[in-house]
Amino acid sequence: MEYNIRAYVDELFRDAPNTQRAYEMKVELVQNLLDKYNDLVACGKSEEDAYNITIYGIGDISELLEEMRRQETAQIGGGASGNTYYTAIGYFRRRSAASIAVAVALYIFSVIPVIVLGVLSEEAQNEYLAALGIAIMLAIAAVATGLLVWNSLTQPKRDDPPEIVIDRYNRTRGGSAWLKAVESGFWLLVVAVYFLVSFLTRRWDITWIIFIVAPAVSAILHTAAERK
Amino acid sequence: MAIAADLIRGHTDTIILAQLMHGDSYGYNINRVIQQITGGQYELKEATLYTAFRRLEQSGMIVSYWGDENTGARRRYYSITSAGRKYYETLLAEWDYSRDIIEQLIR
Repeated sequence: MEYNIRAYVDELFRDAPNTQRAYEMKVELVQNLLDKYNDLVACGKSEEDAYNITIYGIGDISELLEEMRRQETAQIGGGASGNTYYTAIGYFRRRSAASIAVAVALYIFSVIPVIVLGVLSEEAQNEYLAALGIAIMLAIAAVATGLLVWNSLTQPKRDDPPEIVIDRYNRTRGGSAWLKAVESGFWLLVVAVYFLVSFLTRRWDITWIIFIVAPAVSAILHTAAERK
Repeated sequence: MAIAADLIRGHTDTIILAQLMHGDSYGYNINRVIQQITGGQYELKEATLYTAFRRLEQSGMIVSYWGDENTGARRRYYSITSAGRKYYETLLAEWDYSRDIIEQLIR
């Protein structure tokens, strides 16, 4: 039924202007209708009745939409702020798709060093080469996982109100320069540290823990930067 | 009671401002309180409610913000401004005045 209410409002707003204000109005209306519906159900109404009462209570919003259309087409010339939300959502969608694609590609390619170095190690009778292959595979997998974690951490939630989404967008775009620099070099640094520590200590059995700690460090850095 | 509803609709702004005088609130909550006060006899249509919110916000009588509930749903809250408080007092005085006149005229 909740889905039906959302679908009904979607239909109501089909001809609404494509602006942030109209979108916010829709989010607000849906939330209030869901509140009302849930209240009615809690009072003992059947889902069917509650749905009908809720929908009937909306009334005629055509005038409201008409007025919005008139005002907002007049405003669009003045500033593009109304479209910021869609720009932000589009940006997050594209970034999410790109991150996942890259991560999947990394997972697939990560077995290549294992195979290649495995064959080489047999030919050269050197077991370290095989170990190195596995280490590289794990490193690549760690980068891919880190990418996925980072993406989901910085992605807006599905029902975040527009202001939050735009805020996140602005912060991501205009994010502090040092954070960006650290971010781009972060995983390279982690891999470098991993090999350095491993070759120095020869404790390959335990040094992989670096890759478990790294995403946590990354998340902490992000949080710290966002707090500012 | 369609005619009575029409009579009341002319005072939607006053009704909403009166609710916001008690503190910030969101759409459904305002409507729920209105229903409770009137014993379920009167309730605003969402269309009426949001048209009024929009009008009042544009004229600076109320401001809105997204609340941050920790659990689940996020709601848009409305808050009355000082201009809104003055406007409410004016509307109330107007109502008292017109009520007296109508009383005199129709009784």
